Amino acid sequence: MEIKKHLLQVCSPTLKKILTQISPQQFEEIEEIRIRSYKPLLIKHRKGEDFLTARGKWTKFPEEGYSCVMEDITLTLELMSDYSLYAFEEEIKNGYITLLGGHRVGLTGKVIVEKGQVKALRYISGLNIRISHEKIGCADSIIPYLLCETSIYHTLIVSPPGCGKTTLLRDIIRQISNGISSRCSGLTVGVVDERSEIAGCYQGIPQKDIGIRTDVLDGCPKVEGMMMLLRSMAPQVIAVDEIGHEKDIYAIENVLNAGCKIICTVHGNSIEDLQQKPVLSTLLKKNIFERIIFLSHRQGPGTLEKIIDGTDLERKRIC
Amino acid sequence: MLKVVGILLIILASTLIGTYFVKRHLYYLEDLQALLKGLTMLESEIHYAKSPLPIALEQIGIRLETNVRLFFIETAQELQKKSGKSIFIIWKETIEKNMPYTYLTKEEQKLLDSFGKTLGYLDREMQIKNIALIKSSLNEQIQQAFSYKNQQATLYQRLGILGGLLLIIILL
Repeated sequence: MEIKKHLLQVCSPTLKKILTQISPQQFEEIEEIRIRSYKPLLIKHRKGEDFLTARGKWTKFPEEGYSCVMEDITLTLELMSDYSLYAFEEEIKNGYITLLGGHRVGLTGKVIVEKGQVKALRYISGLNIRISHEKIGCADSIIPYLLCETSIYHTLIVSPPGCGKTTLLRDIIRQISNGISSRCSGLTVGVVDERSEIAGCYQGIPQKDIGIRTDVLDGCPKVEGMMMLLRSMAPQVIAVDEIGHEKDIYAIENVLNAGCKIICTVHGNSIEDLQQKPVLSTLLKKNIFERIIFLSHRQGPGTLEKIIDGTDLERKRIC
Repeated sequence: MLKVVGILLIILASTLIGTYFVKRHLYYLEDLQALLKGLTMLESEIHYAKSPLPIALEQIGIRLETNVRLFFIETAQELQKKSGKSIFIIWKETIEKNMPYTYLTKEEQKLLDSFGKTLGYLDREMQIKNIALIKSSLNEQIQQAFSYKNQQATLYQRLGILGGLLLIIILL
């Protein structure tokens, strides 16, 4: 219900009217809301996708869907940014803004480029609201594979977009930070939350449950953030989302040298897929990650495909 | 005796009328300066602190002295309601509503209205430039108001007294 309340607050009056009419049960199932100018309003949910009519009913026929107008988008955008798009300048350059509650809104439109770099986004004409679902306990079945004696293994979570990587990461952080009753006392976790998705911080305070021993650097670039945490917060575990940049390797190596454990996520389908990515293949060759978790969308988001031991040359399957 | 009292009353009234015009102009100048101060603060809030408008405007409103603060505070309150109105409409309505409580003129209202069209939109650079634009127009107004004050203030005061004397002479 909280999610619905937060979202309705930032929607233009017309969209608000439509979304209010969706029942709470149906709302729970929504993963994405896509608003494109002069195109029907589309929602993605666990079972596929549907269009939304002007009365808030779900339909399979595009022509019955409510056709969004430019005003819906500009007003929604104003409300989402607290009437202050300029305050989200850096985020907009990366193509998204993050709402209260950690929901990420993707943006498309006319890109203004200066000296080969994205300067701003003007005439924003498409929004994709990705609803961040907090699934407390979704890591229950995975946690036992990650624990070693007094700490945890270096872990990599791999999945295509929208399969629940961040949700899983969040729950792992919560559990190891709180401590798992019999097996592991709580660990100090440092989170570098570059896109405000893990902790869903609002004015610096985490809105999601990420455990009692967790420190969050909100909106901080990963590389700098990891160094800052190492220097000052003495973390036992560092968690980051979506690695893949060359500089990330350097930061991860520093984390390892400091004796910290690392948990991170990356986009990908399979181990072969990862080996083709230059940055990831370098990391894999070093056999850093002791546990690699693969997720898929096979039985809804967050389906556990397998867990393998990354240090083992044969990449033995553990689960 | 009665005549003397009458004469004194007339002189008093006419002097007050003269002073009123002078004072009015001084208040107008104060309002202009307050507005300029507010916009300068907004500029730094946007440029350095990157604060969102509802917070920035409220903070500024609290720190301003004259009734110009109403523009900032009430816009902030309206924005916080998230009623779904666009910021341009909210700003325009607040200005219109609170204009009578200030000494500002139609000219400033026009400036503020057109400023509202770009408020909050897109990047910081654009915000800063827009604020700079309205600030330079306001600065011009202030300069004019100053020279007007120097030239006309004493004039109004004297005109008041002399007007009173004229009236007395005619009546006598």
